[in-house]
Amino acid sequence: MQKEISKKKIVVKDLNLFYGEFHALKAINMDIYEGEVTALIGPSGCGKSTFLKTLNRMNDLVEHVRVTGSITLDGNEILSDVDVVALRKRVGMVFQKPNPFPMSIYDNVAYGPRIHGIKKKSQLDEIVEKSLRAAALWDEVSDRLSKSALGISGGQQQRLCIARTLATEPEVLLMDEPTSALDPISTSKIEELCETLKKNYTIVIVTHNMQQAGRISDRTAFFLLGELVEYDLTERIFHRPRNEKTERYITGRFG
Amino acid sequence: MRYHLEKSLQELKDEIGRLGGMVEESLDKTFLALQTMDEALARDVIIHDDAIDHAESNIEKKCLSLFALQQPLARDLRMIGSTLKMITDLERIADHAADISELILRLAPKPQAIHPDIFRMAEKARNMVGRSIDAFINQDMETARAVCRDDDAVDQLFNELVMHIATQIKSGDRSVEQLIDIMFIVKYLERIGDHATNICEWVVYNETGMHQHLQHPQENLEETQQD
Repeated sequence: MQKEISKKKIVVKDLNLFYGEFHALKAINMDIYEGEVTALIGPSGCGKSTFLKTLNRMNDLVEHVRVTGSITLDGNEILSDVDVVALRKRVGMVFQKPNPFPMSIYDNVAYGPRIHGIKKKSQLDEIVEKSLRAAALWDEVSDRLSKSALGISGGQQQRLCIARTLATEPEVLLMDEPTSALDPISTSKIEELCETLKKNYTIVIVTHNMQQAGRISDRTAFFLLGELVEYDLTERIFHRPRNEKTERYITGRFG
Repeated sequence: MRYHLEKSLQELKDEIGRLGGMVEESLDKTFLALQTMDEALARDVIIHDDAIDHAESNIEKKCLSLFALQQPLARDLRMIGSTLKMITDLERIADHAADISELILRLAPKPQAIHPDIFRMAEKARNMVGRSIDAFINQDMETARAVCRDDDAVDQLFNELVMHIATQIKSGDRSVEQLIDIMFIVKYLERIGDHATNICEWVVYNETGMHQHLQHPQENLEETQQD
């Protein structure tokens, strides 16, 4: 149900994105609310992942990409001249496949804080423990922090990646299909984690799993062919969407 | 395309149609038995009620299994959810037909004149039930809303008949026991009208996604349109 007062964390206005000639995002307008989980759904190639990546300027890494419009984070424009490293510290990202660095569990989590200048061992210890606890992984790995991160299970690796992201104390967490490579138990752990984390973070998640969007998100945005077709409370979208295209997609009658 | 789900939904509608047909047959037999004080027919309705319960329970199992296996959303979710609710109303209507039939068995040995308005009320309620089932299967909002409006006439007849029966009880001309039985019949008829209205409310829900009480349609229709 809609919260009493929801603050707009991210405001997207008339966002267009082109890959060369290809118009990948078309005039997107969307408000993302603080302390909520926002799910992005839609068929492959609809632009939802592209949209997710614009929120921390990951598309800057793609050649021939052109972006127009405006995205503000807490009222400050992020599409113009900003320090993207600082932006990505505030807006962290978790990818589809767990991608731990080939180093110890400890070093994976400490990586970000070290880059941002923290060197003191006691401080790093504290951050590592806090982040692993927040990612609901501490109890499973606390006795083998110096072991390679590649030796833990896929579900644990994904939670490690979340811990690594949390270690830099972001405000927004972007997740691109974070459970698509995981089994149902690991998936439910990540989903529970989203529920816990949203108290302190704003979460935007791309998912192909409709039930997952239903289970964890407060709002759902349906993308199709680069357009934001419908954006509303998840309960509304899954119960009675306003748009026929949304209806057809979520009931599996597309194409 | 979700072939399996589409097929299951169509099967579900067919089964609602069959259950609806059984309920309508029960009502027809009951009202005929009431007119003719036909005990055999009344007994037939009572015996047949088990088959209706069984059919309802089968549809219920199908709905729950579709929730578990197909995870329906939006239109499909509303259709299966409302089916699960409306079959309870259908089953209750059949229960009331059986209840009336029980009373017919008590009244039959000493038949007395039944007020013609009771037959008028029965006819209206029967008509509401038939149209509510059709409206559900065909997703016909207009009929659904019309049925809800018709319930006012049934309620009015109910109030008038209760007053009439109360007067008869006071006058002491007829057996009080029989008059109380007839009062119950009138009450069951009124409830049948309510259940038909409930079914129609689920028709509206299927379309609008909002469940509202439509028994006083003038006030509620405006709210629905605002959505």
